[in-house]
Amino acid sequence: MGPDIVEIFNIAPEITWSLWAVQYSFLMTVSCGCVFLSWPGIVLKRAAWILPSKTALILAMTCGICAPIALLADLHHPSRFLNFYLHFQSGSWMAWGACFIVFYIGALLVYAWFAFMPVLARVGQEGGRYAPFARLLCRGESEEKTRALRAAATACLFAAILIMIYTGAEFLFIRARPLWNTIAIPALMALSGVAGAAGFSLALLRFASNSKGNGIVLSGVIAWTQAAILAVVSIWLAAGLSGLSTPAALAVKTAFPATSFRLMAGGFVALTLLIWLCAARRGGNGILLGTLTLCSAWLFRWLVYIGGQQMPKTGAGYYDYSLPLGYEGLLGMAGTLGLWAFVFFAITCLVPLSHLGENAEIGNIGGSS
Amino acid sequence: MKKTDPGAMLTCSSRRTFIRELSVLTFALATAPLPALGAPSTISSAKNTWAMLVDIRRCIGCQACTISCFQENAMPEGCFRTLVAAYSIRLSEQPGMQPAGTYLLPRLCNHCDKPACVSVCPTGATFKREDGIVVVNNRRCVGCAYCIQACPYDARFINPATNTTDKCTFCVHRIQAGLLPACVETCVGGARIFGDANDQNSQLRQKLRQYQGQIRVLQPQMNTTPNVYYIGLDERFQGKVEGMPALWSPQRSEGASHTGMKGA
Repeated sequence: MGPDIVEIFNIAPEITWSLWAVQYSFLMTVSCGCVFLSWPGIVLKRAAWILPSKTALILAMTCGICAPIALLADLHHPSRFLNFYLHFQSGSWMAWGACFIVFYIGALLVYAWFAFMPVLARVGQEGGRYAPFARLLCRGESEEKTRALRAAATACLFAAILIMIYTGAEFLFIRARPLWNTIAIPALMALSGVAGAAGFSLALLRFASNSKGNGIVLSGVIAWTQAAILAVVSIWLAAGLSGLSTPAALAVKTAFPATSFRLMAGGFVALTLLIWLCAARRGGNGILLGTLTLCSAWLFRWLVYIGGQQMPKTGAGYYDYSLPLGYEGLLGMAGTLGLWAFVFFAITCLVPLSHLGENAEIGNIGGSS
Repeated sequence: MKKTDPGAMLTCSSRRTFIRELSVLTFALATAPLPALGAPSTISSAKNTWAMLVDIRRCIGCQACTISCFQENAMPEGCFRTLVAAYSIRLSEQPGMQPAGTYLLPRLCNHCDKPACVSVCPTGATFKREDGIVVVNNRRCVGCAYCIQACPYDARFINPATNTTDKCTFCVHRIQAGLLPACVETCVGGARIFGDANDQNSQLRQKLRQYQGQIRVLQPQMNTTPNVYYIGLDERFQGKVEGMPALWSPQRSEGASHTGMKGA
């Protein structure tokens, strides 16, 4: 017997939060996660964390600088971005987010500046093409300004928490999209952001250093975050299937009949489980583990942003969407990667990865790499 | 010289005059922008709360509303502020009975009293006027599409010509001129009734009173308090329609780059 209702004629709205929004969310939450990871080594001075934390702060800067550019690309009228500030609306989470981003990027750059001042001084002393610029940036200072560093780090941490809250809240209060209108999304967004940050830091750390010991703490973070993601997903699913939580039940009822969503969600859970098992063993290839974690964080955002918009609010069935090849798709991804690579190379010219050696205490510019 | 009967002359002249004047009158009636029957008699103000009642029983799915809105508002190809969604529904399995029927559902912005789109707008570009109409200031809109996500009726879209959010405005420019919205004006079956919900004597208010028990709105669980009401709205169509989607969806096809039309 066929269906009782067959849609003959209707509108299929365009996906309006496209790949650029996925890229923004990915870069921004990974950047915030990196700020969290930078604290143990740079601010709390935990010996095992010094190198991972410095690596994380480098990545926080690179991702943090690229993220707002991806966000601008997602606006259909990017040249009007100043309207966010000229016509601020206190009732909109997005308006608050626009302010938080400026606060975060400012605090992040100041924090990184104080944290890497000894490295800048060292680069300035060593001479070379970038030495004059490094000397200009550190203004002849070679000692760590502990109080200023702590103040900037605290401001940056606070801003990163605000970013995580706003990123989740932006989804949470959209009642029209059942998949987004659930408390699990902000939690998973934050957890996968921290996991992605740990994965990215681990991959870069292993890429730049042969020592496996440097990444142990990051593997631990990956294991814990993946376990937490699996726990949140399990609770959310149980609450949805049993009907204990109305929003979760509605989300499950709306999303799960879609084959594409089921496949991608299943893939995400399987990948999370695999990463958790690898990370918990504290073995394997750090670059591979880190890259997989990073991919998992990206996949989750694709699942939420695109998967959420593929579910019609009024129409029947599901809207098809595939990654376009142009600037709004694959080319956009390549462009974002290129931008990130440029920012990364620009920053590491002044703060070389080789100068972040594990023996180099912050403030000790003579530390070996 | 042949004498002419003055009476006959008069008759002949009158007939010719009548025919000539009739043709002029017909042409004038066809082309003159006469005020529509039932048009708002006053300029819109805070005293008004504009609303629409859609009598689904009278809709024949001719899409005259869709086309008139498209033309009136100079919409880019593939973009629609209003449209009549069409569904085929099973009626009976019994032999000899009508097996299926067509269900038509005109869709448009609901101009809610508690609009989800307005509260999320980060720049205040989307706002609700004192007369109840929700509009977009497309000189302030940044095209962030947050309102599109928040609207439970899928009534908003990005206009590719302006790169800003677009939606039904109840043809506010026509209301200001004392005219009816284009979709109401052209509705063949008189399915769309537009008026001031505050005016107890308006046709809209009278119909709302007359069909009090049968009036429904779309997505009632969203608590947005819509100002578009329906008579004959099947509850299966109030929210997301559970059924087979349209077989053909030329999204991103020629001429439908931003809003795909789905049609089987």
